[in-house]
Amino acid sequence: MKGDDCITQKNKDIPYLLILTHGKWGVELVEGAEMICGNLKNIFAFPLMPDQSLIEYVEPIEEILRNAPEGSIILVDLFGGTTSNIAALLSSKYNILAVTGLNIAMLITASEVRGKYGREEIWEKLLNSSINNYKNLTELLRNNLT
Amino acid sequence: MLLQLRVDDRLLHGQVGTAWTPKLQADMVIIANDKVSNNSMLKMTMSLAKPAGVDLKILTINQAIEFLNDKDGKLANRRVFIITESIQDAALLVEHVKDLNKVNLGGIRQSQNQDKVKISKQVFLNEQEMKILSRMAEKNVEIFEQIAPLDPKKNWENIQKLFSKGGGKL
Repeated sequence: MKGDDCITQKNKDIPYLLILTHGKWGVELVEGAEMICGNLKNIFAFPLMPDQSLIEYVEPIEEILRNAPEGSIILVDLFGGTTSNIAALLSSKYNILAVTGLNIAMLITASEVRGKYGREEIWEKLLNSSINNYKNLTELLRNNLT
Repeated sequence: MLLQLRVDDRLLHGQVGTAWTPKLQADMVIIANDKVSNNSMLKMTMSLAKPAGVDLKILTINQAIEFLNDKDGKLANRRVFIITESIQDAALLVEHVKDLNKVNLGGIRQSQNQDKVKISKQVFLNEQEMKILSRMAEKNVEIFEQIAPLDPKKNWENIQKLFSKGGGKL
């Protein structure tokens, strides 16, 4: 399969979110986020598949990046992985914010905050959304019961 | 100690940094690649992927040969894991570096219009690459295909069998 699944509607004014994942879970993640938020716009998922060469993977991403509105963000699954190596390179070439540690809370937040703040503020919000989503439920429950 | 050389056209990435480096208990990773070593932007972005607690060196093929031959004994107590992008580059290192005798085929992807045979889901070989590998095998270099540490391993004999029957399952 090619890595250029355009999975949401396009609108030229909203900054893009580009999702780079190992395998197809980024596509599914967007569907999951849509269960919570409703229809999301300008999100593009690029699944990295085992047999793909780097060029095959990068080309469709660059195609989207060339027309990406200011404030677009690349969201990456794994720091130190191929997806993050490529995002780092693209981030320098296209002057775009690229971050790692993708999860559903981060994606929902990114969709809300894109275009509304500066890069540092956006990163802070993405990071906080992730951190606030990590809970040891068993522990929380036990503390509430005692 | 030179642990092994991995041929992987994604160079330093998840399988290498997150899976193989701890599995091999490597404390030094050498990327031997002319293109990345000579391009400061590629070099900088690739060095971001450095696994924690490991020394990373990005060298040209010639620099890597000199470094790995270790004239001053600096590698005596190190556990060194070497990555090249291609089988051609791997052959240069194996030929010119002493004590390098284990080659892992990890990621050699299909490029368009090349007569490649599928050995595994991310290793595809052509006639020319098989010839280079045969010459290595004749010099008692252990050649094996294995994607990630938990994936099954194919030895040189199995790789040859798969190639001669045009790929697929053994």
